[in-house]
Amino acid sequence: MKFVHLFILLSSIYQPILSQNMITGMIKDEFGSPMFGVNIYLKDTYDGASSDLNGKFAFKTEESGQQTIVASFIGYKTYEALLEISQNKIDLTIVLQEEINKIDGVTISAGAFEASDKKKSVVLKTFDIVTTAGATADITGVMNTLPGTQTVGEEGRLFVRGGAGHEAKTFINGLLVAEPYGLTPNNIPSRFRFSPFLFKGAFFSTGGYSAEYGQALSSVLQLNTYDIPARSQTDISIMTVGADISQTMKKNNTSLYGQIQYTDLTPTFVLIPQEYEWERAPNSLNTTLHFKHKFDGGGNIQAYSNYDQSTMILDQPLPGNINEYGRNDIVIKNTYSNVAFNNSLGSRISIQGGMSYSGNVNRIEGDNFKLDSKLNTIHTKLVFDQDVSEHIQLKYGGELIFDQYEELIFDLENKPVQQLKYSNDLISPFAEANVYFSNKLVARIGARYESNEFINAHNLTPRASLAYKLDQNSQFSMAYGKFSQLPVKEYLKWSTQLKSELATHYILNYQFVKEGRIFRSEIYYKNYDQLTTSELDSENRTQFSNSGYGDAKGFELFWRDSKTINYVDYWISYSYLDTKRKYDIYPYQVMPYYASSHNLSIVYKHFIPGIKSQIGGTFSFASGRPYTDPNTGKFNSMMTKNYNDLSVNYSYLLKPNLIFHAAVSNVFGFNNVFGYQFNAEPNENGVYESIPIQPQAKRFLFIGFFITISKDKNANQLNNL
Amino acid sequence: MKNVLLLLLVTCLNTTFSLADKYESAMSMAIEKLYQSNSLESYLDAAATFERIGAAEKTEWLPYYYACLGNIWTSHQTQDLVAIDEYLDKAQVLLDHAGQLSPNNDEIVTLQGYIYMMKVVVDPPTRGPEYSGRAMQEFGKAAGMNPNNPRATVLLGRMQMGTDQFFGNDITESCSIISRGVKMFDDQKPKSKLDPVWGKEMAEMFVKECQAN
Repeated sequence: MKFVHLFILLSSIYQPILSQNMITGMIKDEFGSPMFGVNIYLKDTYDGASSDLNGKFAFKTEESGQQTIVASFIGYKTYEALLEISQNKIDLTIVLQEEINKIDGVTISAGAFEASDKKKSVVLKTFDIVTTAGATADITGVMNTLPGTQTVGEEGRLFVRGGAGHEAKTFINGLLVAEPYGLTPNNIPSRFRFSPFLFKGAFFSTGGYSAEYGQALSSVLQLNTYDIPARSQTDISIMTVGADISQTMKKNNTSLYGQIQYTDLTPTFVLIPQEYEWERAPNSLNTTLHFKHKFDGGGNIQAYSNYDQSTMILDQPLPGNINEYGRNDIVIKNTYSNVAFNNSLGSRISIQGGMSYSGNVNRIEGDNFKLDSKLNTIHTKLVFDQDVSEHIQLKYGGELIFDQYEELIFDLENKPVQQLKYSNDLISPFAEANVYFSNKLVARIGARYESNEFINAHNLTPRASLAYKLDQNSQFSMAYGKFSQLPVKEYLKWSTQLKSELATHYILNYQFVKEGRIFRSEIYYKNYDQLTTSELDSENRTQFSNSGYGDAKGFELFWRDSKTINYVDYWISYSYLDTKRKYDIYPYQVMPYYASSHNLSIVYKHFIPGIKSQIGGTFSFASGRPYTDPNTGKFNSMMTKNYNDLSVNYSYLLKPNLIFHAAVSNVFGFNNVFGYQFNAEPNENGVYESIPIQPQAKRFLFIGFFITISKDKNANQLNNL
Repeated sequence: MKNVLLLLLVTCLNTTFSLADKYESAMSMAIEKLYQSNSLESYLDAAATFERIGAAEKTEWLPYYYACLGNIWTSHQTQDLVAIDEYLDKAQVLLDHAGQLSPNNDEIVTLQGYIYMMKVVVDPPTRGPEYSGRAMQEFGKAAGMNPNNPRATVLLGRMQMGTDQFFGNDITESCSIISRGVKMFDDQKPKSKLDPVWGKEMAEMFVKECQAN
């Protein structure tokens, strides 16, 4: 009987706790659409449920009184509200607000191309940098398949939207590379000096870029190096153009990489006869050291150093004289070092910066002269990123660029006959705000001030851009900006009376991204002012001034599809360009020699798992480019014929650690002409004779084996099992 | 008086028991729910349950571990590559949380490898070179920490098998790793009844793949 009492007593005490209340409801987003998979629960209890496909949820709870109800879903702000559980059935409607997503939400895409594996809507993947045919692992080669670039076969560097080669600047981890290309004789394309395998991502802008970047009128190429590698390993490459060996050592949060590479084009030139007479084919020795350390807090520091020394001796044919050659004996020594770091200073602010040094020493010996030149550039930069609120992100900082150039010309007796030099200090603070009005609308407003000590030029350059997301897949974006750049050293060494060259960009962009497909279209107008000109005065002396000007306008289309056909990935870029300028020795406003009205690239990649291979092809087309025929007496009035090239490549994974790669450029042997070189004097018939400027060989062939050897304990764990 | 004392005692005991019991029984039920899941919705629902338990408990790594596993298994249930990536990203966040609560845990390292393995599925040509190596490394690391971890062993064997098949190599060695792993399932000695024991069915599926070749 006692037990019965006890039982009754106990159950009466437990009664209120055991009584179950039902909580039901509906989860919607801001637009009223039901949300699936949202986790709804009472805080600090296990009671809860996730919403079904109709946004509905229901759960029972034994809790009562005041509780906190939580609804959470990734990408949305977590909802929390007090709930008084007194009645046994509660019905709720909860609306979740989207979080501002600064990575995959609305992004400013006007003029911007990104290569990355982290973000979802990027134009290029990291892998593309090394697997695009025709590019033979040259970063600028890959960028040249994107809209906005012009094919200038004899130069090898980037030419963007009617801008000259020097208007495009290159940065590694935010730090300037003063001379990213090797020096070559006239009309021999130069190659990008840095191996694409170093970089996990790239940001390529064809205009309207952030106030963080300056001293570039047309374009910015920002490259990001890889983080700490997964393991220690040795890599060996054996190629028709040379060989290299590298060693990666990794311990916990620190890694050290060293590489030594020797390349020599002699075997290639023996195999494939060249247009020009090479006494010594281009050859170079290249060494790299790369140290990386990750801080516990997530930041990191990297020190990168590269040294290369190249030589080549070339006898270039001269127009009008079949047996006469211009001799070029070139020795180049390039050093590039940088130290870059980033770290967070608390949860809302981070700092990044560093210092780079570029040193370029060149010696060119011609038939009757010798020229030594030295360029030293030091770049220091500090940038703060601050999340002021959920909606406002600030970026501010400054940079100093110190440039020093010296050139000495010797006569045949090795006596110096001329010395030219300059040095410049550039101080530049900048600030920029990203304002996220919502996940659909973002604006970026900033400005940059530049002060050049050498020519006493001060410029304030405002930048502004806006992006508006129309729906899940498409967005409009526009950008405006003023840009200024110091005249190139070819002018600065002669004159202190120059001003900064100026450009203004206006860009409108539409982008559609959906599951492996990207469509982009862009129209732009670019205005140039204060371009440097070189003119002869009445006494036949060269006078430099900033009386040049010009403009460029056009539209571009891009389509990439990796979805429609299994294992096939292709992209198509088309650019239309209309540009004229008066600059350099141009007597009036005219289309410059490096511009072509129509550029088309089609890149195709096909991965065939059955034979462990990737085949690729790149077709490039460029309409004719202007050249001056002195026989007509008019400047840049003639047009070369169209340029065509089909390059193919093949990669074969022999073993997990052994790759075979082969590439052939211009498979069909199109006879491409980049322009014509005319004799300075007319012949006895009064005709200026010319020779075409052409690729040294119709085709280029590259074959290589890439081997990776790893001694990592974990990787070899297999053997211990 | 006696009755009152007894009552107090019973109530006290009951509350103490119920706190520990509540976690265990909720986890057991959720684990059962996860193992019984057969659709995207049910996997996701099971994963959400673990997340709730994890949020309430704060110091237990197992709820986050299972929530991560639930999201990996959810990703098996769809063909939508973007969605697969989203579930795997979610799984990664949960696993990072589990790893903070329990560092140097071979089960957590195994799941890290599992996430990388699934990442490869989304885009084999692009991600294969990087993520298959990383997956192998994590499985190897887990097997190094605990040579008797059956999950790490069979997944390592399966990953190796895939690589061998891709390169047209003999799969005998990778299959022998898998069968060694299968045996480990029977010798598992979980520290608690909530510890991970899953994977035998998956391992037997791998064995069948071996036999088919």
